Amino acid sequence: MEINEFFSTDYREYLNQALSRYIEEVLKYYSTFIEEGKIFPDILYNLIIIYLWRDNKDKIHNFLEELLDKNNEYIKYLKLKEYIYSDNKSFRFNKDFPKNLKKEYSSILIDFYENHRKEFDNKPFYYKEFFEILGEYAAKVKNINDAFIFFSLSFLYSKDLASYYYNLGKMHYSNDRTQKAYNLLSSSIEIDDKNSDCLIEFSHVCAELDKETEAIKTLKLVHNRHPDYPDVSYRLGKYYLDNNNIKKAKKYFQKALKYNPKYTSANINYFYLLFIEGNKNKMLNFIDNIENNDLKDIFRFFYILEFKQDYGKLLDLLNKNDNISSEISIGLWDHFIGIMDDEHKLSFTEYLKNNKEILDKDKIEPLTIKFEG
Amino acid sequence: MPQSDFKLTSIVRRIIVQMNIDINQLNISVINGVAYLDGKITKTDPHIRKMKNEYSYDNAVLEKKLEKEYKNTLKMMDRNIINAPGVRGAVYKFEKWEKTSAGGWIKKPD
Repeated sequence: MEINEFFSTDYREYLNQALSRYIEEVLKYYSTFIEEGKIFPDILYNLIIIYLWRDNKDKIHNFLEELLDKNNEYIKYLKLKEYIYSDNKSFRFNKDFPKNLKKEYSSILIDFYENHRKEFDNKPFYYKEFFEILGEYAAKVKNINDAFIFFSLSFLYSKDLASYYYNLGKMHYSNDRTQKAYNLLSSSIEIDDKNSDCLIEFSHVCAELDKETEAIKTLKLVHNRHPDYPDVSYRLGKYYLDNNNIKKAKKYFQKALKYNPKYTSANINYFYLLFIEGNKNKMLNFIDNIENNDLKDIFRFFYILEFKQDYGKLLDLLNKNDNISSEISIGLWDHFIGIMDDEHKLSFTEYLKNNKEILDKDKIEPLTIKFEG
Repeated sequence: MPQSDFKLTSIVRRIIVQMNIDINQLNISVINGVAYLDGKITKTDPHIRKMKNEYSYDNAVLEKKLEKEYKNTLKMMDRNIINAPGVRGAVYKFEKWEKTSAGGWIKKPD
């Protein structure tokens, strides 16, 4: 949609009517989670916000009770409770737009506000969250222009520019506008570098734009505050592994596994580092403690091939677990194959070729192709 | 020049986000250019929610509709991941879904 079309009279009229439709849809959307028994705190929180708009006191109090029953320590929920029970429910619509916001944008937002003024002024409300919820919903259903308007309205009530840029940046990123997302997210971080979700999103955008140094700097910022985020530790580990810094890679994979011992990719990469080290006791101990049987089998396979050359056991594993040869053929284990002794690989493939009847052809071929390089 | 796994992981994650699949229930990584996804596939888009509302009267019909929807999503997700520049292949270890050797998807029995 072109900018002029976007701000056409038709669009303004459409938007004025769209609000009630969105509220209805969002309410239905979150209600199905509750009906399915997925009574998560964030779902309850969003429903309370929507019911605040509807002024449905019964629902508000029921959901609030349920929310606090699940978590009565999170400051965001406690603030909502305080707000609901307070008598002073005022809000402030502030027409000070960010300096770089286009004039047409501010004009349509003010129009929108004027059209709903009566409605808004009579409803003391959590406006920032309310419009954010609508914006996120509109972004989910790919109505980007509507999402933009709702996020902008959210900003007008809260003046929270960092949040505004974050929401827009996230939206642009999921619509393949990576450079735009980069600009918005970096502006958000300049204002507030404490939002971990924003920092993580930004690190992904940087990675896509080949700004690896910036991505790593950002991930470290998150890691320092949240060493318990396994995904962040894993990505740092993977970066260092890609760049041959084994010591740092190991440190971060260990951290990822500390908080999520079942993290498959972290297990794969950590075992790979043990494999490079060649410490058999450490490897065996690691294999014994792996809960995932698929991984246990494939780690055993590489261990035996490299350090024991017990072909009987290798065949047992290949027969037992179809994934081993298929994953090897697709290239998932190329880093292991790349550092293994050529003699061990070749003598095993010779053995397979000379004993074709002992294993399916489909399993032999990928192994010979990979092992013979 | 081959893309780094670090970069490819972000590309694969974005593809999944764009399909309205809950990334909080998945581990997403790329190893040697091969995407590796494990965990639970949950679609979060309003279309699924609407479907649940619409067919709530008959669980069997709803299950059938959802299965079809998930199969289409997984097929598209797989295609988009494989077609991403630099990605050589993909391995999926989902709780309830399995990719067949023919490229289709089947729901694992409960």
